Amino acid sequence: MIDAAVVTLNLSEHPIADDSDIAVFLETWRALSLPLIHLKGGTDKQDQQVQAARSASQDIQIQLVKESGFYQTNLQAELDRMNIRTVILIGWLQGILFQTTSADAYFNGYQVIVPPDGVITDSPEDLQSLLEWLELYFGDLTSLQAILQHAQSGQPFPEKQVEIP
Amino acid sequence: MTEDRIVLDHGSGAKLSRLLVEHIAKVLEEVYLGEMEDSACLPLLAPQIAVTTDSFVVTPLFFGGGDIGKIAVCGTVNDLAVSGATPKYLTLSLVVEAGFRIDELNVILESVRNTALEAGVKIVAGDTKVVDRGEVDKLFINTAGIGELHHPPLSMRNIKPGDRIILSGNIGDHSIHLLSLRAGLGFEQRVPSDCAPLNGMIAQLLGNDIGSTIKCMRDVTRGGLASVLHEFVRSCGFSMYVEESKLPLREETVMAADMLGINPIYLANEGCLCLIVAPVTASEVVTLLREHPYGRNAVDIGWVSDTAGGELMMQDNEGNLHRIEELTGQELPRLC
Repeated sequence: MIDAAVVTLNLSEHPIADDSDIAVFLETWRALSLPLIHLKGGTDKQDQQVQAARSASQDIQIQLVKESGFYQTNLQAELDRMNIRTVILIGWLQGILFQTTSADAYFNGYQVIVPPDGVITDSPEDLQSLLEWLELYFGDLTSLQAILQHAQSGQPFPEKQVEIP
Repeated sequence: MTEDRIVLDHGSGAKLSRLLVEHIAKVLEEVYLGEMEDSACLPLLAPQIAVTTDSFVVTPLFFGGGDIGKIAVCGTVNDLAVSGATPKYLTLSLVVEAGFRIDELNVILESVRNTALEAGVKIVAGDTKVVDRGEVDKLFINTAGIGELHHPPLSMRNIKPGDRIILSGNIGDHSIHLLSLRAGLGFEQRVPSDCAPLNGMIAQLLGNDIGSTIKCMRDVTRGGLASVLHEFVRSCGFSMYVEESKLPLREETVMAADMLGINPIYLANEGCLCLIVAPVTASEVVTLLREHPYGRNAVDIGWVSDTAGGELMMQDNEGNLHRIEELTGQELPRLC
C-alpha cells in the first residue's frame, strides 16, 4: 500500500511543457491513482483564508498563506485524511518554499523525498545548496524514475534514517 | 472598562484616560506601587543604584513563550542584573495605537504583572499615550529600571588572560522563533523564544562563594554572541577564542539558520547570558548555572588569550581558526 503523496510547488503559476520529465512523471503518478497536491503562491493579502478545492482531475489545490505550505493551510489535514506518511516535493525552486515546506513536513512526522530532477531552477548553485541542505538534515534524494518504479511496486517507501548533526 | 478597543480619548488626560490608568493598575495588582502622583518616591537600601531604560517594539506582539509585556520587563530587569545590581523598581510607559483591542492589552499587562512577580520588581510609575491609527504599530512599550548595587558593579575592565567564556543557554532561538512566526517558516513550533528574567539565576551566582570570580556578564540580545564578545574584546584589548563545537545550539535552530544563510552567533536572544569567569571556578559556575531552569544548557565555550590586538576567533570543528567579524548592517529588525 503506497502511503505517499506528491506535493508540487509553484507549478500552477509556472506551467511546464507537456513532454517534460516532470509532466510525464505527474501523469504517470495520476494514472496510478496516487494523490497529487498543488501548492499555489500569489497569496491575496485581503483574503488569507485557506482555499482548497478539488479540480476536475481530482488533484488537490491549496493556496499558500506564508512561506511554508503547512502554515495555516489544510495541507496536513489532507495528508492525514489520506493516511500519507511520505511527501514527495516537486516544482519550481523559488525563495525558500522548498526548504520551509520540507522542514515543516519533517517536523510533522512525514518522510520527505525530493527528486533532484524534479526541481526546476535557473540557478544550479541554488539547486546544489538546496540538495546539500536537504541531504544534511532529513531529505531523501531520489530520482523521478526511481520514485515511479517504487510506486509501481506497490510497496511503502523505505524510511530514511535521519540523524541530525 | 466598557470599551473593547482603545480610542484616542484614552490618552486625552480626561475621564477615559483616568479609567484606563485605573484599569492598568487593577490588572497589575500587587506589582503596581504607584501613588498616582507626578513621581514616585522610593526607599533604597544600597550606597549605589543602577539605572537603565529600554524601548520595546517587537513584532508580532505575541509569540511562543512570551509577548511584548514579558519582554519589556525581562529586557530591563536583565540589563540591571548583568551589572551586578538587584532589580527593584520599573516604570512602564505604553504608546498605544487607537483601535488596539483591550482584551489583548489585558493579556500583555498580565504578562507584565507575572514577569514582574517572578523577577521580584515593582512597577512604580507609568504613562500611557494613545496615537491615531498608523502612527504606531499597535503597541510600543518603554520600561526604565532601578536596581540596588550592594557590591562594586561588574565591569569589562576586570577581564584577564586565561579567563573562561561561559554561555548560560542556547543561542539563536528567539530570533529564529520570531522570524519563523512572521514569515510562516515552519520552525515556530519547534523553536520557542528563550525570553526570561535572568536576575534570579544571576543572584544565585553572585550570592555564592564563587560570585567574586565572575568578572563581568552581558545578556546576549541584539547582535548576538558575536556583538557581546566584540564588546569585551574592544574593552580588554586581548583576543578571545570560541570553540564552535561547544556552542549550545538547538538542532532546529541550526537547520533554520543554515537555510536562511545566517550565522547563529549573530542572532538575538532574550534569555541568555555570556559570562567571563576566572578559570579556577569556571566549571563550578557552569554547574551552578545548570541547576537553574534558565541555565540548563550552560557551557564553557572558550577563553581569553594573552594575545594583544583584540581579535575574536572561532575554532571550527576541524580545528581551523576563523576571525569572527563584527556584525555590520545585518540586524534583523524589531526582535525586542
